[in-house]
Amino acid sequence: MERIYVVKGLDCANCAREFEEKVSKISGVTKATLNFMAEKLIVNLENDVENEILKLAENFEDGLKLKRIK
Amino acid sequence: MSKKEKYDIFAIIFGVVVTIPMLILTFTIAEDKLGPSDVKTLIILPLSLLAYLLLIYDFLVKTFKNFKKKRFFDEITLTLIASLVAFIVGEYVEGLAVVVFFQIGEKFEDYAVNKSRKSIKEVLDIRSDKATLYLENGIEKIVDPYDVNVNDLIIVKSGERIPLDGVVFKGNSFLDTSSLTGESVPRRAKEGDTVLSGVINKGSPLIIKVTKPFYDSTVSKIMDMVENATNTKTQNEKFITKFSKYYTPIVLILALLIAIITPFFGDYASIDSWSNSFFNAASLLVVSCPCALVLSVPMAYFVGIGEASKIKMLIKGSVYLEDLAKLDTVILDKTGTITKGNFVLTDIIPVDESVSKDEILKLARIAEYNSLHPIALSIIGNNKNDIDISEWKNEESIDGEGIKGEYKGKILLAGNSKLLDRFNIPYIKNDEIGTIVYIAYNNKFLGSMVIKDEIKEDSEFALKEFKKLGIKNTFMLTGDNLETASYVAKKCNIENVKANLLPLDKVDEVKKIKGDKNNKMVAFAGDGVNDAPSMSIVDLGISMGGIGSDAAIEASDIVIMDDKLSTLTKGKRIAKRTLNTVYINIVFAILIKLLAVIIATLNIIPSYIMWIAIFADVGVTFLCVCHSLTLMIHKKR
Repeated sequence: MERIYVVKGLDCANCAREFEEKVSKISGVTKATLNFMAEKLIVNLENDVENEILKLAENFEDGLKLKRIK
Repeated sequence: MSKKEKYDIFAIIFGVVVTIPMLILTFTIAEDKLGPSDVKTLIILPLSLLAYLLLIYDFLVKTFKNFKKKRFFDEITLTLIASLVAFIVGEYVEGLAVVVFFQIGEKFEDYAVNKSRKSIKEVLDIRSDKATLYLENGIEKIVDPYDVNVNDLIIVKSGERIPLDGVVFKGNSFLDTSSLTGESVPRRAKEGDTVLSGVINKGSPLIIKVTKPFYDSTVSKIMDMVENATNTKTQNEKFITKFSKYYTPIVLILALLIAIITPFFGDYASIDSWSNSFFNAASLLVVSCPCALVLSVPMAYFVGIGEASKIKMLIKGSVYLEDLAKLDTVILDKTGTITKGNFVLTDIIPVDESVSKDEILKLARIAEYNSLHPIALSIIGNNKNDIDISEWKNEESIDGEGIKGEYKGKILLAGNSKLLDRFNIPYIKNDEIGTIVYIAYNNKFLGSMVIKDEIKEDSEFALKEFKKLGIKNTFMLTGDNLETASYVAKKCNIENVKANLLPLDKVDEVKKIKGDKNNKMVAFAGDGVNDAPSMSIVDLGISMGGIGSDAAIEASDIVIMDDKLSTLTKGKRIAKRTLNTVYINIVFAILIKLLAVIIATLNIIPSYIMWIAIFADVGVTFLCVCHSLTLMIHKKR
């Protein structure tokens, strides 16, 4: 399944890249792409690990917010 | 401006104001050797330190938070360490400069990111933020368009944008569809007409029955297409992700090694050689962020896609922008792509005097009555109420040939020459350019009709441009006859023409072209509605004028909203320019960074190394980002 999140509060493009890497390492995530310019995170999931993704976001950077739109 | 922003700007300005005179002072005292240590400790140190502390307040807070979240090698932390080292080894101005430029760089990056985000939003965001419900007894209620349900009635007044897709329930008006189609001539909308969200009502109020929820309406689809369509990255983006993944750790390890090992190659007992090695290591920390790349490259693609949207070309992601830049082979559908697709019946030629034109037309209209094919529609005309089909029976459509049926108990045929051949009916061949429909009734050929389709105004010009832009091979595929196809091809300078194709033949032709190794990047451009199979074969599916059709948007990678081939050529120019920008940025940034790393490692010009590092970090980011932003500047297209 595919999920799309709006990502707000990412400081820099390099942090975006790091965050993307971390999300894609969550087991259950087959692919994660963060488009820093469009502020969108697109993830392909094997099983529903939304909570892990949200938790990761919370622990990654202050003020980082994910809002699911799909 | 918030309090925090005001503070930041004050700190930066103060930092700059201190840095410049201190810099001059440092260099002059070095030259004159007039009590350098006094000037340094009494003037330069306190002033630099003050400016420095003002600037790093933020850093400390963030670093503290990062440490709590177990992120140790954030660029802020690294900058902080580098500047502290500079202060400790007595290079106060450099220490200050590292943070001053870092902060300026950050502010500039924010500005650039916002600027490009805004520019794309302005073009694409033609969504309305409110809708007016039209309730019983004519009561109006303004609501969030997300809260409007299918089958609700909404009212759209003059000058307002239609918020959701629907059908006109009541009213009669003109619509400005330019935001969707680029067409500036207003279009009429009357009861029963389908209307798309995003267009503006230019006349009297319309009451519209909503057919799609907001998130499924055309405007949302358009936004979605550009913003969330793909999670595939281009080769360049993948390269940068990989490069960044290894670059930072390698530079950090190198910095550590330089700091602790190099003194042993020289005089390890002297404090100077330790200072020198730590300072070199600190400069490496400054260049350790791949920021220039990770920001400027995605930004170039983003700006490129935004620029393409401005000319009514929607691109579903950076991959397709890159494919467009590399495109060398284009397969074009004739009808509706090169030509307008609005067929006009231009002539009726009876076989002899015994048959009248009216009689042929009457029979043809009966035979085509049920067909929705554009050619059939041109024969039927605007009004079909006057056609009496009570005696029209056993209709059968023969794919790629025409229609057969029984009228008043006798066989009536309407179709191309193949159809008459099939029934062994002798006929007089009509050599006019255009689509020819032959009519036979009761085994007798009655006459033929000529239906013409106009070439779009810009097709000739656009196709001439193809070669200049690197599109070496252009193919035209059509189900139409060879005469018409050749005529269009000759006019538009297309060498490869395949005519008389059935829908399945078309797919086979596309497969063949794609299979040819000489055609490296192949696109198919068609109206998008029936082209999904062809589009799935080629590298790049381009639908023309498919706005409003979900199938077209879904199947294609690029949608040309204004239905013009010249938009394809303009878009290709943008794509090529974007890709060039990306290449130049990648080469430039990596080159300068590696150069800085080498200079620091080999201790070549130790007294300038921090300045080189600052340039390789902030300076290069600034130049690359500016370069990406220049994609927004262009001569009139």
